[in-house]
Amino acid sequence: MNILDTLIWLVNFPATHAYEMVFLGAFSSFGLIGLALRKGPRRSRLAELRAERGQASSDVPAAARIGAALQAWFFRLLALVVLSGLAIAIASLVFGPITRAYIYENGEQALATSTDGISNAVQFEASDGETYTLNMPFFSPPTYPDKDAFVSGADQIVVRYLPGHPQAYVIDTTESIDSWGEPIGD
Amino acid sequence: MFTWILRTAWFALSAFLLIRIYETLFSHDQTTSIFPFVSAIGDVDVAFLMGGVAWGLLLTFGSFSGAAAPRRRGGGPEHVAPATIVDVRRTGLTVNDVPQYEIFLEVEPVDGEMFVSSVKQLVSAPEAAHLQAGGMLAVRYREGNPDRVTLADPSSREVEQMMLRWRISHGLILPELIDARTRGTSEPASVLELRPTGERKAGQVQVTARLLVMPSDGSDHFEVDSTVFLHPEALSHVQVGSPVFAMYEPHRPDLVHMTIQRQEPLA
Repeated sequence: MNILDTLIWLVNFPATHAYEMVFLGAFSSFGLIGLALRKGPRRSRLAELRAERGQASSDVPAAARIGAALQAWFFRLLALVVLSGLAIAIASLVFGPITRAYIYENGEQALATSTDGISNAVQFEASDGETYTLNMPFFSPPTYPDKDAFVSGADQIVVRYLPGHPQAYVIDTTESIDSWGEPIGD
Repeated sequence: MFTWILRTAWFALSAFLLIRIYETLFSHDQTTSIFPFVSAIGDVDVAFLMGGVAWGLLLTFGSFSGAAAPRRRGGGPEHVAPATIVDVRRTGLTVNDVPQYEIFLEVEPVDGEMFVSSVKQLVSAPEAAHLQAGGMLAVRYREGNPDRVTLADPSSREVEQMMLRWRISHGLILPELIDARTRGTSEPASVLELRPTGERKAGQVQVTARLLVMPSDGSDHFEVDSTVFLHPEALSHVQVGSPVFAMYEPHRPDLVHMTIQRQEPLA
């Protein structure tokens, strides 16, 4: 397990949940940016007027200042994470999951089966001996090198996954074959 | 209260989204979840999508929009006091195209310390033109609670009496005219001459008006001078020829207090 694998595994979430992340990011972006850019604790006009006339303290309490600073930094971090996720999601919807090439190049190969049911999922046994049943998203399918390959028609599915994080996987379209014995990808 | 409900909903949705992300990143079987409504998700994680949209909307519209500090409730007995407008701002809320204003007021109780408060009120456009800094309003407040103030009906007898006491306590009625104003009768009069004296007090200007008093008991008309303090906004009602009222005690018709409207003596 290395740091780059871990980073790709994390980036793989918005990449494979691109459809959901686009909605989440689009509906929250204005609020996040607004909260991230908000400056200091605001005092109401009434508090200002009272302070001008010596009827209230002119200083904002230290606890309020620290709380507001912590909140602003929290929302800055959250905005960075969500907006990065939005950018990754948009790129992944257009080009396919952007993590596919790295996983394909650095992943371990395993034979997989496609599960029946409502969820379109693949099941494979990783080198750690565990069996993984992972969703296969429709709008950003993790197929590589052919992003338009038709996986549900495959007779034998081969996946490549990151050894430390098998949840990050791609379907190898050159090794996966259909019922004619041909690779499912071009 | 409403803000806290929104915040609780936002935190609950945050927890749901984080759990779903954790399940996706760490779970060996992504087709199952601890949430029963997520198990039959199909190709799109509909619950995550809907939760994410609601999370974003709550974040954008209000749950962290800096709710104002809660206003104190309760307080002592209710009183009426005059208040000077310090500032007026629109809150952004409109009801039936009538905008809401927040009026910041300097309340000056007849007995007690002056304090600053504010009141939110729907005000139509013609009325809003009169809401200028320096203008005066009558307000109701509770002793010991400067946060809760409401506008009082300026035509009510209680407000009129309070304003009279306030004017006396602030020296806005000359000492020799207090008896005329508080115990006298109100008779119709007309303004013959008007001359400012140059004195100002509590934002009001002093004028001396020559009045032609026309007693309603049929006795002879007579002319008399009356020196009073007027709010600048009231000056337009006191011009040569304006109908006004003269308050005086029957045995001292030489000491007259002019009023713009017919006023009652002090109860």
